[in-house]
Amino acid sequence: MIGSRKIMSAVGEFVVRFHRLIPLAGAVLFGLSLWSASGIAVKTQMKDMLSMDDPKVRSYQDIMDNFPGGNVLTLTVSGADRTAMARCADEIVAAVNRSDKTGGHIVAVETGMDRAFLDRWGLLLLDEAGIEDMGRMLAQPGIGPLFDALNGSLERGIEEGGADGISGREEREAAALLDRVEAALSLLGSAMDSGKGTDPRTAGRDLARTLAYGDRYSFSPDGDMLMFRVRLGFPVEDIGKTMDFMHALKPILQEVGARHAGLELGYTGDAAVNADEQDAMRFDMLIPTLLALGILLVLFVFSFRGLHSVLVMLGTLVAGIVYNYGIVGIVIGEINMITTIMAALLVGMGIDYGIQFTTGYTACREEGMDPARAVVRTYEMSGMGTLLAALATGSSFFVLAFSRTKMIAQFGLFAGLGILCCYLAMSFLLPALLLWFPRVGKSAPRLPRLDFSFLSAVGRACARHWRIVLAAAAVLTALLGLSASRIALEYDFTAMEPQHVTSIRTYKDILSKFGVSPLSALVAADTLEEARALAGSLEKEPAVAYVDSVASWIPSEPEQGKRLEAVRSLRSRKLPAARTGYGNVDVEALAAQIERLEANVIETADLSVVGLGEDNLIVRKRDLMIREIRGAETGRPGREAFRAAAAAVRSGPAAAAPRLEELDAAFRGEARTILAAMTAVERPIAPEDLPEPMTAGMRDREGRRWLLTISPAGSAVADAASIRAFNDRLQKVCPEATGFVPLSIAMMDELLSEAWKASLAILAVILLSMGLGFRSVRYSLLAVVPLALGVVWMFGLIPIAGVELSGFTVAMVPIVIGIGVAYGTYMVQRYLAESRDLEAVLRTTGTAVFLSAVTTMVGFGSLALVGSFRMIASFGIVLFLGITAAFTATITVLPALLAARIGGKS
Amino acid sequence: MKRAHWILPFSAALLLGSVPALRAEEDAAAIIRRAESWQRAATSRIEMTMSISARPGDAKNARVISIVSYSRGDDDTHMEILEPKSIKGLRVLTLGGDTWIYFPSTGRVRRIPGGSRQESVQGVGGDFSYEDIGGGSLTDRYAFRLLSPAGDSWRIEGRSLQPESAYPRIALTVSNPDCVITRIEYFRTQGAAFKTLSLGGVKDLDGRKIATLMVMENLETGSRTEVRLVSVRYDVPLEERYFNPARFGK
Repeated sequence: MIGSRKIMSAVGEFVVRFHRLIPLAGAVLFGLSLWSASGIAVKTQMKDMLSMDDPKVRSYQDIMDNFPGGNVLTLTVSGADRTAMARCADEIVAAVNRSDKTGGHIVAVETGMDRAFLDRWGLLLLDEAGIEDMGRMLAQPGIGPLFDALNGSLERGIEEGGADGISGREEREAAALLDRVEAALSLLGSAMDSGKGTDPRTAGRDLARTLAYGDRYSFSPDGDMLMFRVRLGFPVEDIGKTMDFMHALKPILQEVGARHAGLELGYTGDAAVNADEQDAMRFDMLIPTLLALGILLVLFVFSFRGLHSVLVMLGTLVAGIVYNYGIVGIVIGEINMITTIMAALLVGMGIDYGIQFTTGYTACREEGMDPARAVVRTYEMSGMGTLLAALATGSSFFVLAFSRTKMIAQFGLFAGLGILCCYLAMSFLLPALLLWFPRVGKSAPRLPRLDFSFLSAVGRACARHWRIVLAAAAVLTALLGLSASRIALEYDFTAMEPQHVTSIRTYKDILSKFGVSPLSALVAADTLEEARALAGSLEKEPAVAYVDSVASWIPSEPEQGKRLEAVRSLRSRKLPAARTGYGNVDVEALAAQIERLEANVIETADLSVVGLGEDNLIVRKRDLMIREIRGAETGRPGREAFRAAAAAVRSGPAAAAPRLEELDAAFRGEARTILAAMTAVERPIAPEDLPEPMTAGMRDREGRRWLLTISPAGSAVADAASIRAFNDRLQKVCPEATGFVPLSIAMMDELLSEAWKASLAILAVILLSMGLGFRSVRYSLLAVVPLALGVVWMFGLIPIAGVELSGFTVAMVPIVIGIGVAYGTYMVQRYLAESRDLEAVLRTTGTAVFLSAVTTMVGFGSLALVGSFRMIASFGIVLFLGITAAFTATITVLPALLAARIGGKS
Repeated sequence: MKRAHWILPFSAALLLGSVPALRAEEDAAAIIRRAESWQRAATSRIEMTMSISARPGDAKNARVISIVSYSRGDDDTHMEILEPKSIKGLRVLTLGGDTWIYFPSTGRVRRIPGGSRQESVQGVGGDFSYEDIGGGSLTDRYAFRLLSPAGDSWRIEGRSLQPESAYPRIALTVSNPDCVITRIEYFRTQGAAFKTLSLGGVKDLDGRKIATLMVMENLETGSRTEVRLVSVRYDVPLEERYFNPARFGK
């Protein structure tokens, strides 16, 4: 004891002697730290937080390194007018391709297949029945026979059906067919309505093209959102290029959007989310910290005498935090999703050492000591205690540095270094500054001081009624323990992201409008055959919306053989003869076909309910283009596309027949031109026939392997169970699949497992230090009781607070343990130091423990209040609950336990 | 579009779980024959709910379909969908090998050709195939042999007599002495069972032991279809129009 006092006295003398040099050195170090910290990279990719030993991370890295199109960005245009939306998308594509800052990074823009390619190879992409249907439609001499053929096709579908379940792709194809039908009806309606002035010849040609090629862009079933993908030529983890690209893209979108009033543009995908995360993290690194500092300033102004020491203390805290970032810039070089909150955490934790010093120093000065003597005296009285506390907290964080999870290991190192930096700043810089810039004048403070005597009153009351308090604590612990069983695990990574950013809003819009997740899974196939087999297996999975791969464009040899045969048969077929001299009978026949088509569409959608559920794309499309149908009843009105077209056809009996004849002639000419081009195919399609932009997005740099992009169905990412089930199925079909969902599941599992291990390791270190400090099992356990209760209460409060626990949030538990143990330790230590005089403990320690807890709560609470990442806000809530619970247990249950003489007779 | 006539006579399959008491020494075919002999009734009315999940325990995302079925003899069935609302009132009439569908949304009746028995209706009628729910008499389709003598139950293996069958081999567990089929495992030519049908909730209804819960699980995809009987009545008077293709939708 005397030895440690001498050491601390010597340190105090050192600070007094060099009190001008220390701040100067501190200032230089501050500058160097800022310079070093400026080079810190912000890593938000899941793979950056996982070990490279993880096969999914290796697989992901392989794809990012070798497939130039592995980084997928999805762009959307929302509005009411499909034509305007398509025009806007065209402008976006042209603008991003034209810009040096974006165009140079684009490998492929997937806006649909070009017509030249479809003319040459389109029929080989359909199965034999599809070829037959397409041929039958394009061979018709007019719209009436065309709709008759379409009706026949739908009726055969209803009667024959397919034996297997409907895949996500088939569901989408059926919805897309309805899209084409609606577009055709719209063209027909405007051409037949003489009042609209549409040229029937133009409408006829457009109608043939619409049916043959469909839309170039993918529209949502509701028709109010358009989506296309852009494959980027840099890996997702290239933060610099990601930020540059997104910062160049956003003004382009704004500029194009400004020219299209009423349309809303969006973007999402790995790169977009990554860029938005970077911006959000920068916010979360700064704003909660400033808020915490502001709250502490107000608290300290009303807790300490004078503003001077408070400002010096907070300034020193900022310096300590900056030193920490400077060292991190050299030692780690990066910040991840957890360590981004370090500054706010250190505000709460690092200030404790300053409070200890400032309290002691102020007391000495009030006793009349000169500043130099007051500094040395403060060191002698509290220096060793503060050092031991810093070493205990710091070492418990350093234990985490041995975690195999990179994210947790980085956090442990970061936090451990942060504690030491703050401790050193508070121990050397703070006293040196107080000596160099002492408070001028001795006027009494004008502001009222906060009175913390209520804390000792609470402690005394708990000690007096210790039986009631212990019983209440037992009941509360049991109830909150039960509540803890309701904790829900969150596996949806996007739910933890900042919800207001465009990339996440667009992601959610796509999920709801298209029923597809744009954050895809990826897998590389070594051969075309393997790609085909994998795509076939994956598309059978109900959780997979669709798979984009070469398999969609290069059918197998036997399949192509059969399709070529079907094409040859179609080519040799004689086309139905055209007729002239249309009359009212033809007009009425067309209207009747339209009505028949409406009934077939309604029934087709009815049948889809049995296999796909009520909210499937076919039903949604049907209900919008016709009306909501509920058995024999109808619900919300729809666009009544069929009735409107039939009414337009019947609208002008005199002019209708010649208009229809004109329309049919134009349609016939165009359709037969397309049919002739499509049936000219003589040989199977080969990978070399695919247009360059398409293969560039699917093939590796060496041209040997193929990339499969797997889009999960919206229902597959709806909740934790669905996400896990999707991942399980994905891994079963292709264990090497990687991407957003596989990596997030791996991340969560690893975090959950490592967080518990880290908690146990920290607890072991704490118990060891307690054992060494108290040299008593009883007192060590007593000191840990508030922490144990605090952790149980925290877990019980989490579901009540409506927080879903993610792996990231669980990773915060070791922090609660590391910090929360201090309060019990202070109390028990003081209890022993005061010769087991509980009254003295409550009188002297309550305020210190309170201030220590409140500062920590302020640090964590600031995250909960303004953290833009939902994940970071939930960190704040969980940590706030944990510290509040541990503190509450310390000032209520521990006095009761001590009063019950569990801590020995006083 | 996929076929709709998956809702073929469920009632027949459900009644497979009901057999009279048997002497232990009777052979496998006799056990199954006796089991099937109990399922026949002049008429019946069965109300049931079918819950189809993409994976076990995923009740939240399950599709639930409620059906009422009227049967006459072995071959005639009329089914009406009660839920979901969007297809409420859709009816399916099966007379022998012919099927008609009535769509309340359009008021039209469509005649549907018979489906191939070995085709799966996964995704359309859950995990039940035509062969599972309307394949006719088991003893006509399989050659049975006892795998284990009667204890608490018989284990019986069936080898398909039809080369085109989706299940070359099935294994049944029949409780003794209740003679209720409690489990059927479905095999391909090689390997372990890929589908299992569990029957439970056995109740004594009109003197018949009826399994009121059927759970078909596809062990390969993890999907699961649960059929629960809500009410069962036998030998009830049924209106003729239920079995008249021209009037069954009225």
